Amino acid sequence: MKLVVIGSGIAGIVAALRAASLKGEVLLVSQGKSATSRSLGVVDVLGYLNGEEVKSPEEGIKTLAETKEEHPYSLLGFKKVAESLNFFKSMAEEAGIPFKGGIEENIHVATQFGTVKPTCLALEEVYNARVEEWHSRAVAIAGKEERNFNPGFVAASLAELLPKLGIAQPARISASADGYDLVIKPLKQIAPGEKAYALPMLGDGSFIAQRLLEHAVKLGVKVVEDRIDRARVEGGEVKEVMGRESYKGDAFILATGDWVGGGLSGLKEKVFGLELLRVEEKLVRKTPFPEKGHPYSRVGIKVDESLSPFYRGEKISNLKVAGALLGGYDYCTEKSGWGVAISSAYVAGGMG
Amino acid sequence: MGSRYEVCIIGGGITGAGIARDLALRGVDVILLERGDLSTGTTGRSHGLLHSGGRYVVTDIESARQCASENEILRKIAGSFIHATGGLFVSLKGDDDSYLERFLQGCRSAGVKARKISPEEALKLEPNLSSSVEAAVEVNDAVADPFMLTVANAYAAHEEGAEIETYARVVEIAGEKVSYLQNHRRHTIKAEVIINASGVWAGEVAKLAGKNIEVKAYKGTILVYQGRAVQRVLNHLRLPSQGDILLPHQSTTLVGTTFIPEAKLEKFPIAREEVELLKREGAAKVPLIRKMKLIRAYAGLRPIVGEGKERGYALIEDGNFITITGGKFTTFRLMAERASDAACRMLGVRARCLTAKEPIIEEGEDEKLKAKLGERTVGRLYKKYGALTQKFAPYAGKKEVTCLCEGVSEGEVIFSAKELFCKNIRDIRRRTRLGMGFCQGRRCTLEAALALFSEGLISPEEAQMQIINSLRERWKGLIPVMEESLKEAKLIEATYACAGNYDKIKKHISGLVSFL
Repeated sequence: MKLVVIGSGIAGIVAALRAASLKGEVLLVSQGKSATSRSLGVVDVLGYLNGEEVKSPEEGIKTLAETKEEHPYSLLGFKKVAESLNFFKSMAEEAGIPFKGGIEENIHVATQFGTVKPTCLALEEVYNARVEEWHSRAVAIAGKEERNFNPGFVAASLAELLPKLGIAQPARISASADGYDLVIKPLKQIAPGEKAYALPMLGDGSFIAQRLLEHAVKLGVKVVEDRIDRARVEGGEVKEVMGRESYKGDAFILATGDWVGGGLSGLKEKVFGLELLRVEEKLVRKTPFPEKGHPYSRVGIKVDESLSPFYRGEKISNLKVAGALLGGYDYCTEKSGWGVAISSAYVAGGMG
Repeated sequence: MGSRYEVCIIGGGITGAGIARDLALRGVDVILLERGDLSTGTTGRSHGLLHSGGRYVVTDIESARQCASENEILRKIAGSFIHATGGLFVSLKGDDDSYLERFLQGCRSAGVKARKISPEEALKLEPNLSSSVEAAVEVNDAVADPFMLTVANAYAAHEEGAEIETYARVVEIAGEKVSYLQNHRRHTIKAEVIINASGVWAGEVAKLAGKNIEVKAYKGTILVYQGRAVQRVLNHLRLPSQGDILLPHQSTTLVGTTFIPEAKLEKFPIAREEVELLKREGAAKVPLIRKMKLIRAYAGLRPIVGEGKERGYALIEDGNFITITGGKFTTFRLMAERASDAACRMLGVRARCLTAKEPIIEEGEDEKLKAKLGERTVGRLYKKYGALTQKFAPYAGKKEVTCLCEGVSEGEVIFSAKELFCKNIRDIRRRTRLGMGFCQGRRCTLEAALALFSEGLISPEEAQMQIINSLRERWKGLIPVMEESLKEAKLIEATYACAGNYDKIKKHISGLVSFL
C-alpha cells in the first residue's frame, strides 16, 4: 500500500505521520512554503461557536455535531478528534517539541498584537505562559524588539484589554525590550523559582512543522519537492499525480490548503478541479473582521464521512482531503485551524 | 491659535490646499478646514494624471487650453512632485479613423503640443502596447502623486502661516461664523471670507450657509495593477469614453476610468461590471495586463458643473461666500488663483498671485542626507516626497523597513506622522505608500502601529483602533476585485483574525478617532 500525500503544511505532515506510524509506505510531496509556516504554531481546536467563546472544545464539538452537519468535526465525530490530538501530542513529544493542553479545556495566550486569544494545545513553554497563570502574579514580558514585536506594546495593551475581556488582572505587567539577557537571566538569579516562558509568534508554525517533518522522515516518510498541478483519474480512482515528475500510488491525500496554501485558486481546486462546497455569490462581507466571518471561509472541498471528495458528482474513493482545503468551516472566526487540520489528517492518514 | 481669520477655506483637496498656499503667499490670514485627511475626497481618488490637454481638444477646447498651460506651469513650480513620463494617444484597429484629424486640429488650436508618430515608433516606446495600434500621437502628459502634491501645497501654506486643520468637519456657517467638529469637540471661528472648495460636496457645504449650488457627481473607477506595464501615460485616441487611460504610478499601473452619474456622495460601491469593463479596455491597449496581478480598485466622484460633459470649473461669488468647484486635478492652481483673486477683492488685498512662478517647495541638494543614506535611497525618497525629502534628515536614522512591498522605512512613517499632517496610519499610507502594494497592509499595519507606539505618538488602544480602521480601508479596495484577491484577503484574515483575534476583541475597543 503506497500513499502519496500532497502538501507539507500541518495537515500533510500529520497525515504522513499517521500513515507511517501504521507502517504504510508514504511519499510526501512538498511545494515548499505553506500557510502553516506563517502561523502561531498553537493548536486551536474550537475557540468560538456561533460567536460565543467556547470554554471546553469537547462540549463545543459535541454541540456542533448536532447543529452543523457539514463541519469537518461533525463528519469525523468527537472521538476521532480527541484521538487525533493525543496522537499529535505523542508525535510532538517524540519530535522533541512537547505540546501541553487537552481537549477538555481551552487556554488563553497573549499575542504579539497585544491581544488575547483562546487556543487548546501549545508548545510547553507557550502553554506555561497562558494568561490563566498570570492571576495575582507579577508578569514581565521581555524580548528583543522586532519589526512586528514590541514587548512594551504587548504589556501596555494587555493592561488595558484584560479586564475588558473579563480576564483577571495580574498583579503587575512590566515590559522590557532588552530581552532575555537583561531581564530573565538576572531574574533567575534573584528568584531561581521563576520561569521564563514564551509568547506564540507569527512564524512559529514554521519550525514546528520542520521538526515534525524531520520526525516523519525518521519514521520512513519520503519527502520530495514538487508542485503538483494535475492528476490522472480513471474509474473513480486516482492513478497518479503530476508536477515536474509523476507520482503513482494506491491512495492519495490532498492537503494543499486554501488560497493561502495554494490549494484553491479563485473558485477552483487546483489539482483535480474537485467539487466545492458553499460557493455563494457574495464571497466577503464589507469589513475585514465580521463576527460571523466571511462566506468565502466556508468554501472548500465537499467530502463524505471518509473524507473522500467528488468530481462531477462521482466520489473519488482512494483520495482523501485534509486541512484548510476542506469546506464547511471557518478557522479564522472559530479558531479551529490546526484542530481541523490535525483531526482530518489523522483520519485521512489512517485509511488503511 | 486665533479664532479670527481673513479667509476660511472649506475642503482640503488639491484645490483647497492650493488656495491656502496662494492666499498665504499674498499675506492673507487663512485657516483650512478638512473633514477627513488632506486629499481624501476626489483628489486622492483620481489617477494623478497631469493632462497635456489632449483628452479635451475635441469636446471641450477651453479645458484643453487650461490643461496645456497649467501642465507647463506645474512642471516648473512642482517639478519634484511630477514624473514627466510623457504620454501617447493611440487608436486601435476598429476605432473611428477620422478622429485623428479632428484631434490634431484640436491640439493645434488649443496649443497642446502633439507629435504624430508611426505605430512602429509607438511600439518601440511602449513595447507592451497592443500590436493592433493604428495611429499614435505623442503628448506632454505627466503623472503626479495627488496625495503628495496636496500635502506639498498645505505644507507650503503652513510655512507661510496658514492653519491646516484636518478631521475638522464644518457643521454650521452663519455669516462670518464657521463652526466645526474636531475630535468630538465643537469649535467656532470667524472669517471675513469663506471659500467653499469642497468639490463634489460643494452643494452640501453651501446648504450650511443657506445657499443653493448644484454640482453633479460622476463616479470614476480605477484599477490598480502590480508592476509597471507602461512607462508613459497611454490614452485611447477616440472621443472621451470609459477605460481610456493607463498610466504608471510609482510601483503600479493604473487603468481608468469609468464615468457614471452617482446620486450618493458618501457611499458609491464599485460594481463588478465596472471592473470587467476596465479590465477589457485596459487589455485592449496593453494585453499584458491580463497576466498582471490586479491588487485593488478605487473610485472617486468628479464634480461636474453645468450641462454636458464639459470639465471646466465654476467660480460663484455670493456675499462673503465663494464657491469654487468643477475643474480638474490638472487645473487646480488656476482654480486656486481665481478663487484667491475673488477673496482678495472682497478683502481689499491688492497682493498678486505668486503661485505660477514660485516653486511650491524650494528645491535644493541635500548633501548631508545623501552622505547619510546614499544617493540611491535619497533618489527613491525624492520620487515619493519630492522636495519635501529635504525635511527628512532628522528621521534618516530609522532605517528598518516597515512596509516590504513598497519599501517604506520606519523613518518615513515617523517623518510623515510628525511633519506631514498625519493623524493615523491611513493618513501615513497616503504619504508613504505604506500598505499600498501586493499584500495590501497585511505585513505592515501592525508594524506601523508599533513604530508609532514606540515613538510615543499613540496609546495601545489607539494602535488597535488604527490597525482595524486601516485594514478596513484596505478591505474596501479588495472587495471589487475579490475574485482576484482571495489569497490576499484570506492572509489578512488569517493574520489579524485567526492569530490576532481581531474579530473578537474589536468590540472591547472604544471607537475613538485618534490624534497623534
